[in-house]
Amino acid sequence: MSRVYISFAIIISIIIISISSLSMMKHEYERFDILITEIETHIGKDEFSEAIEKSELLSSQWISSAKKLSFFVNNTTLDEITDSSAKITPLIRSDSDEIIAETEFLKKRLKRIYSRDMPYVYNIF
Amino acid sequence: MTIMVIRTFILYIVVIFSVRFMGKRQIGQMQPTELVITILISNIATISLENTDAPLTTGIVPILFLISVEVIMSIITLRYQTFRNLVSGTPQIIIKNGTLDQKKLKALRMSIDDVLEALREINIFDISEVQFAIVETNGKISAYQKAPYRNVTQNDINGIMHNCDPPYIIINDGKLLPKGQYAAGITVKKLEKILKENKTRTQDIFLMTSDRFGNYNIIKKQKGC
Repeated sequence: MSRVYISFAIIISIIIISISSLSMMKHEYERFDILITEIETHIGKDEFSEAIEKSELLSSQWISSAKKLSFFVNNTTLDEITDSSAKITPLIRSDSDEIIAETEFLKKRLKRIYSRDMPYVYNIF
Repeated sequence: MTIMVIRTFILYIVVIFSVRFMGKRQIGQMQPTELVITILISNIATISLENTDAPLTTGIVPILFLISVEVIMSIITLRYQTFRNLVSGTPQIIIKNGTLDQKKLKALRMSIDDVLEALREINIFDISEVQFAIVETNGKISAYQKAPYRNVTQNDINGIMHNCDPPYIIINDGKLLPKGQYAAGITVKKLEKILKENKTRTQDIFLMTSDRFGNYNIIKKQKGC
């Protein structure tokens, strides 16, 4: 009978971990989404030093978040976001037109991390 | 390379734990559910080993989930006969009193060669020697020979030899099986008498078998089971 209790414990743990991983992914997405929007606002107002400061913060915070997310998310996806976040500071410094495209790409990638894990019918099939 | 070795070792431990956790039956004769679980576990483990980009949890979590479901399913099948029949199927009698049930054989998609081969494996070379042959839920064929072809026991030497059917299950895990009761020719009154003689109740019996001659065997439930 102990095996049955262990089985139930495993299933409950899996459900709890799945739900908490989803909420963690959503939280991370929202946190970085705000940060990226702030970068875009600063660029819009030509406040480049503030934008650079935020983009460096984004890069450093993403590295620690990526480590946590690597338990649930494919490494390739995380690497793409790491590469993209590393591009932002140089793009702001060079006042490149590609910066908005890059921030949008970053937002979409971050959103995809958690939206792909949400138990929607189209994600299951 | 190092990561792959570590991941392989972790998955090896998880798979070993999974097989052990499912119980000893897994290693021997597999039921359909156990076969499915074994195939799935081996595939999931392989994918996790090959794809180092995917987190190890994508391999470990499904394996743990599958073995947990399997353990819970085995408990449900143990408790509910209908569910057990649905998941594992029921044993099918293909030879009765030396006569082959061709319809059943066709339904089971078994050829006569399969049956003969299975019988030869248990040293039976003539179907007419068989009193009963049953295709078990795991696909194996069990046969019960007619009295003249069976090995002689002390009981046979002392008594008269009969062409009797194998014993029927009357009570299984505290539940009365009317089919078995009817086949063994045990009436309700007779059963009540037997229970009274043995100072027990139906729900306290783990297994009761009986043949057509009224020779019965009772195994009472052990405490805490």
